[in-house]
Amino acid sequence: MGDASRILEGYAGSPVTLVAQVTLEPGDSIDLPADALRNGFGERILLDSLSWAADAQQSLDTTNPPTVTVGAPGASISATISLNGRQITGSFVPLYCLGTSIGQDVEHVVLAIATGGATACRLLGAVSSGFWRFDHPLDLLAGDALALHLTHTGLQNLPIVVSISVAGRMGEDLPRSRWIPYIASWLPPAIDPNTPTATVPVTVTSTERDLVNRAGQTIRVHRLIGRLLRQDVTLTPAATAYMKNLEQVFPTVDGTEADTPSTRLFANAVDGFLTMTVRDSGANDNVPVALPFRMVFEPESRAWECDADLESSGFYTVELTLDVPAIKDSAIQPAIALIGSYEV
Amino acid sequence: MNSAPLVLGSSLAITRGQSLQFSSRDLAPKVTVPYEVNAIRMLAYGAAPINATGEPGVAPDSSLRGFLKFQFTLGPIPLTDHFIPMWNLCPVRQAITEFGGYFEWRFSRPLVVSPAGRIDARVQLAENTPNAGGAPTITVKLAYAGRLRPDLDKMPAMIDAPFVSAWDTSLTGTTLANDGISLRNPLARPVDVEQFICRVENDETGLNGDDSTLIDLRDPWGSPFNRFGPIAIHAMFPSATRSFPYYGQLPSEKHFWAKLNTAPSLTYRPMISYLGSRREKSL
Repeated sequence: MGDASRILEGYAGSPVTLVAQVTLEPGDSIDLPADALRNGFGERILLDSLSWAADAQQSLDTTNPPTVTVGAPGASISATISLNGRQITGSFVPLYCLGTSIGQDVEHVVLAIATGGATACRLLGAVSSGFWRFDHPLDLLAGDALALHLTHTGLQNLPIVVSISVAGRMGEDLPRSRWIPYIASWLPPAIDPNTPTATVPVTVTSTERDLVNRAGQTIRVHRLIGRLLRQDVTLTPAATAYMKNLEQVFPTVDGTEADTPSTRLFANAVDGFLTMTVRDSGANDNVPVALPFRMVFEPESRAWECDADLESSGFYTVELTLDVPAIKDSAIQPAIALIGSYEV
Repeated sequence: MNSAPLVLGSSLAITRGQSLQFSSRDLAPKVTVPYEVNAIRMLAYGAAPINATGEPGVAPDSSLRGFLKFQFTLGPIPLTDHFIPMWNLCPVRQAITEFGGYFEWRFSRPLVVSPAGRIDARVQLAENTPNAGGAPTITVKLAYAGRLRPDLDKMPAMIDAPFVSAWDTSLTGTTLANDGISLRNPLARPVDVEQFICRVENDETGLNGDDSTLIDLRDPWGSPFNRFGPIAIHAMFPSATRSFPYYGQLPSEKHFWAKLNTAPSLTYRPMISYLGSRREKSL
């Protein structure tokens, strides 16, 4: 439940949550039923957050289970959201670009059962979840419905159960909100990390149609989100062997409990080597000198809190460059999003 | 005109015992408008490749935490009291960053920089840095996160400038207590202190040292933070944060008092800092 004090000091209204759930097979692209996220309470609702969970289902009996990849369920599902014809998403947005990461340590869970031995286990799937806390409440009048379209991009060859919920407060005395949240994203082709060299780097660049303001008026950009999906880098909970060049998603037990970091060498993740520059449509060099991904987006929240204005049809262009091989990955799938809001 | 996001950055390679300055050209925006900086981010890793399979950047970067020291100045306005160990610029946040060689000094209030102004940065790698990636070359990356402020018609008369001072026992040796040139306020204006950070380093391994020894911290007037006497470092600075919140003002030319009950040694190097800010006339 969101923070009621952000809606109206001294008055909160009745807490309310609307929930929808659907299972998508790889390649599915569906509209949620129109009534799934409809305000059928007969009173106004001020929504202050959207939560999502993506549960990749992996059968225990599978003889050759697909690889479960860190972050995959949140990346495998893309969504478009609108309210009464107003686009909240400027394009398809991977679920894990909706809002900041609450904590890399906890947002993704790999499910497994031990099958004997110190490191042997069988994967059961993976669950990832996230929380988009609106910077301004969203007014959902009685009878209004959020329209959602979900697409399983097939990054993970598993059925995925997607749960979407919106939460807020309900009551006729609540103040009106004229703010609409807005998000646009850029999902470039996956980078083959085995080929780049210092002299022949791999570079991908967004266009003026990706991270663009399609709201029709100036939006307040609150933050940019940057995520990296590293395909085929498996993470086995019980494994003790350390995979070099692998981002450490789970804290080590000795590190968190006894505060004695393991004596093993800690490798940098790809986001320490993948560099980026950013420009905007106002001819500003937002990141003029190529910087590592993790220096622009905080590793903890995967967010770049920037609080800036972007005029109608304004855009950011991002250039990503990898000039060293990352041999543990078969592919690296970046996703970058801008999150803002505008007043109508 | 509207504000716009901004991240400035630079990179350099450093070896043990060196003290280098980052390129000033990289650390200022290309347009001459005011801008603000909200955080300074630091990242360090060993030279690539160093392992048999040619994987890049694999290095014991977590052991660089206290060996890598930074100094920041905004023109004549110092943001640090000489060189400060990298891990003394922020509390522990999450394991993913704490063990990943990434540190971020988040300012409590934005630092507004005048057009064409810049924060200059120097970095120093301690002579005794262990296991420096096999080869003694470390790549250090630095970034300032903030935004361009062309909407400011003129600079404010006063700005908030962060400040940090530290008692680094890797420099002061085996003395049990700090002196007047550490944990101090060398400025003309009082500093609003927000928190203390205490890290304990093991010089041999680069890992954490013993944090169960006792510490006695006192304000400039001699009043102890813990009225019942010295307290274990891990009790005052829990491992989850290594931070002790403190809301008070440190007058000019005053300093905090810190006393240990165990002399610093090769395997036990406490490093204590305070983070704060003060008002300065804008440039």
